[in-house]
Amino acid sequence: MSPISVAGTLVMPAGLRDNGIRIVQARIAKAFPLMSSDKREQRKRQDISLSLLPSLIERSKAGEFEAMEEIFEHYKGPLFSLIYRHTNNRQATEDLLQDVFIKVFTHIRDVQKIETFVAWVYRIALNACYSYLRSRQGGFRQAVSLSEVEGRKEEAVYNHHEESLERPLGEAIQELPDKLKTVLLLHDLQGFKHEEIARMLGFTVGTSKSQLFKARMRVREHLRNKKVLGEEKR
Amino acid sequence: MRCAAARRLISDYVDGGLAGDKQARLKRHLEACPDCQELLRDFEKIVEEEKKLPTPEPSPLAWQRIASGMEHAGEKTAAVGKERQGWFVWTGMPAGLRYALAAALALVVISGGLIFGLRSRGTPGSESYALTKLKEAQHHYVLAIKALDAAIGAQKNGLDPRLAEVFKRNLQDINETIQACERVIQKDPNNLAVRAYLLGIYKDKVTVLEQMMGAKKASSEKRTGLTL
Repeated sequence: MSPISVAGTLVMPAGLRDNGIRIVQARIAKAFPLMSSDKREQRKRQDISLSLLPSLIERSKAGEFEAMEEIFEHYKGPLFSLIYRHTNNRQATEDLLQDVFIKVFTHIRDVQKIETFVAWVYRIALNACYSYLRSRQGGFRQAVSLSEVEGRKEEAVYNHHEESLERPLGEAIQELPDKLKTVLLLHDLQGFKHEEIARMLGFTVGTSKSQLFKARMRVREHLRNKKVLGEEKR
Repeated sequence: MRCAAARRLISDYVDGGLAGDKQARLKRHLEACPDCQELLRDFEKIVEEEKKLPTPEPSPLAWQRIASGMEHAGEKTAAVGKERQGWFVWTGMPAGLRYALAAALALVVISGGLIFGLRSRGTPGSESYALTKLKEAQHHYVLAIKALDAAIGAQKNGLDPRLAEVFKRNLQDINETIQACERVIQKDPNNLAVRAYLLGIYKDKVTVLEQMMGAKKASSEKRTGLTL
């Protein structure tokens, strides 16, 4: 937040800047408070208090701004990431995220079972993604990799001496057919279980597993073709 | 077990989703099959690397855009006469939401009116257009500040007295500057420069009030240990 400089004499003390509105970092693990845990490492961090989401939903139904913002803060990161991996276009992702949350909050009174809230929100987001992709069929598809947008974060994780799979892996995921991509993103990046994915996407657990297997095989093939994965790399 | 069957189980095995007889049979197969061993290593590597992929964050203005969009959704609902029309009607909104919408509208008015209007000052009539837009933006800022004041007032927790004093002094100076601008505008209502300057001061006031609300919120969260 920028310091204040009004009437020539007014300067906000540096320490005050830290007391601005705090944006709660939306961690993927925090975004699934109603999901049960499984054996994967990324899910172990999800056993956070489950008590707040139902009350946030109820308060949002009553039009309470702070509750809606809390929900937004917790889900914005995972949903933005999911949408971005489908669109590969930052501006489109911003727009779709906006549409998704407007839809969520203007229809939140329709939520009867709180257990289905997360799946409902994700379903809205995925429908928005598919609709966007359909509208762009035959048109120019963005080919800017996530790493180009996320330069600084990328450097924080990888250095030049380290063999990084980030870029080719991002490309491999980007090239997956939409349905395979969705399952892989929901399972591997967002931490959903096959049962949850199956309910969300309207197919069986077996289909979810099969789609994930196919997605991983395609990713593997892509990485091997790029010679960044395989025996020769060990 | 054949490789085709083993391959499908390997994906589950990587996720820790395999147990009992299936797991034992797969392990026996893996011991004897270098190709499937390699597939297992590759899948493990892929899953490990997927966890390192960056998670992009939306723009800091995302919430304001959503709040603004909800207002339009509310207007549409009202226009078709549905029962829920009152949900997002301005007067019925919580103070915080009124503030967010007013701030978002002020931004829209400024970018749409001030920027384009002032750029084209040379053309006939454009100055009055810019003046209208400045007045609109001023109106929205006043609403935003009023609602933000109300939202802060509604927050139950207090601030550290030293911090409260800093906010008080900042707001005093801002208010004095606003009053000075208003006095000039009263004498010269068409003075675009002063009106534009006044908007800047309003923006500063919004920033200070936002910081104040954030400080109160942070203090409340610290006390209650609020996490989802």
